[in-house]
Amino acid sequence: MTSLPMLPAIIVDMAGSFIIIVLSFLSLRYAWLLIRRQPENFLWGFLFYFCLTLVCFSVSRALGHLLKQLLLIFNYTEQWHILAPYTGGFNTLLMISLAAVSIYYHKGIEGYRAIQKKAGSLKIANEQLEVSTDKLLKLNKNLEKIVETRTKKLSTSEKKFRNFFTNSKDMVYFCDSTTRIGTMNPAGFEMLGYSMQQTPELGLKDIFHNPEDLEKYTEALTTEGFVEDMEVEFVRAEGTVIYVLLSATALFDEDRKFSGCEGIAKDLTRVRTMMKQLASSEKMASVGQMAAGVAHEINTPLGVILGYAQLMMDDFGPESEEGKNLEVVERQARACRKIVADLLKFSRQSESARENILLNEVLEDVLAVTEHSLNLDHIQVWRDFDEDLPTIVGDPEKLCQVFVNFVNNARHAMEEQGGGDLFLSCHYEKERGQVAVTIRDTGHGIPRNVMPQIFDPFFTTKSVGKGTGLGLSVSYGIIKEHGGVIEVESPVQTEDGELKGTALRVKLPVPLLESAAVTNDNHREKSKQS
Amino acid sequence: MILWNVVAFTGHSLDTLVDSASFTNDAGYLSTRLEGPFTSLKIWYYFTKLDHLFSVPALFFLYLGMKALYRNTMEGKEV
Repeated sequence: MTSLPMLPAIIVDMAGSFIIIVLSFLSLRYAWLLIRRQPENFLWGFLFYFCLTLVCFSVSRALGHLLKQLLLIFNYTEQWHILAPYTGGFNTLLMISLAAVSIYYHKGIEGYRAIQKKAGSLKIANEQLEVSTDKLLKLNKNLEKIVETRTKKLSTSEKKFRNFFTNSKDMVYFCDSTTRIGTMNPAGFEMLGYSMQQTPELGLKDIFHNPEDLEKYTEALTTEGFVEDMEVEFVRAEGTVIYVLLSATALFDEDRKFSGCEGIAKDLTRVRTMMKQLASSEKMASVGQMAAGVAHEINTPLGVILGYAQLMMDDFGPESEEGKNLEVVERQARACRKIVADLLKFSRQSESARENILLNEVLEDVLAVTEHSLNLDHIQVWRDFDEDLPTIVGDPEKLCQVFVNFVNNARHAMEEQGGGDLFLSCHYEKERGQVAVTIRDTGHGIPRNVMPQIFDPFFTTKSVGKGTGLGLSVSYGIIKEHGGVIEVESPVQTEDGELKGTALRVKLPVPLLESAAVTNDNHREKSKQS
Repeated sequence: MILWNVVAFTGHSLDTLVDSASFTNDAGYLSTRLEGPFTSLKIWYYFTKLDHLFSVPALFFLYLGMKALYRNTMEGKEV
């Protein structure tokens, strides 16, 4: 072979140039699609710019080659020689650009990898964070459940203690360190007579009746930390005194400093009154038994003395000295018999009649006997009798004696001050099934210290010779015999405040069958027969 | 790409080295022939004129590669 045809090289050059243009554009298209899909991807960015530069280069070079071939084919050799440096230079420029893009890629890819590495670390950290977040979420949910459960329990507990606090019948209170009451339950306000809406600044010093008790209370709290079953007196809003049983616990702050107290107070006024009444009843019962025994023992020898004195009086004339002495003996013996009879009445050993009685009539009888002497002593009598009183069953004479005793005592109480007012009232208390008779005077009243003894036999505040001290004792015995009670009030408490004087209140039961007419009972019959 | 450049550079260099007397074109450009004797210079020259035999497959593979990348990306595969 002596020569080689250049035609294959020309064909390859032209076809290749055309194919390169097509392939470079197709590559650019995919690079464009990739970068559109993932604009943040560095590699796609590089490939896009690479393909773009490649397209420019391919187009420039291929067109240059095609132009060259065409010019040479059509015998424009001179023109090609003029254009050749420009296309070559332009191709070189684009080739340099392509190289620059490739170099940029190598540097860029390093940065991209570094970023990817960091991104990988961040991704791992993010995954760990997600795991931690999941765990935290689970813990949070668990915590929420726990908090919810605890809140429910707390709410139930709070409700329970709130109900206990609100519904307690005893006073429950909380104080600060200055013993000022901060919180108190409704029972406390009721017990102390204050309104919950208009409560002033209330402190323990305002409600303790005796300052010494408050001192003992605070001292015990600060030294021992608690007070247990302390009996104290409280003053109600309107001034009356109540007896309470107090228990309290001291509260201390974080520095172990006394910061207040919480306490419970139980009102024992009623219990105490009942205990007093019970003790009094027992005392009166035992005194009554003793009085009955003494009366019975004295009655027989007294009868003998009186009998013999009367017999001897027949032997001596009334004008003789012996006769006069025997009269004294008889008179004193009779006085003794009266005392013995009173003692028997007090001890309920005497006989009684049982009749249907209208107490208004009894009281009118009493006033008929006493009103004259009352008027002489400048005592004004006020009547307040219910007109439709039911009848009670009892001995009218004995009840009359009781009310006479009361009126006489009232008269004596007002004697010194030269007069006064005597109020007699008689009311039917239907709901309690009893009739209440009240005799109130405006006299000097009964001293507090003698109040427990006024029904004792032979107890009197009058001077010697003015009274035997059996009046109230006998009255007590008679009223007890009738199933009633006597209440004494001195000074008298009313809605308008305290009134001077004494009020004696007799309460007698109304029989269930009022209409059952009771005339004289067996005792009365026997009494008449004897 | 480097190979293509080398071939292109070599081809253009050889354009200046190969004497125009080595070519005959009695019936126009398309009938141009490279006359012997065939030195290594002439063989290299002829070889470099066929550079598209390298560059076209290279561009084709680039196209295939771009296509594959795009498909993988569309399918959500890790690249």
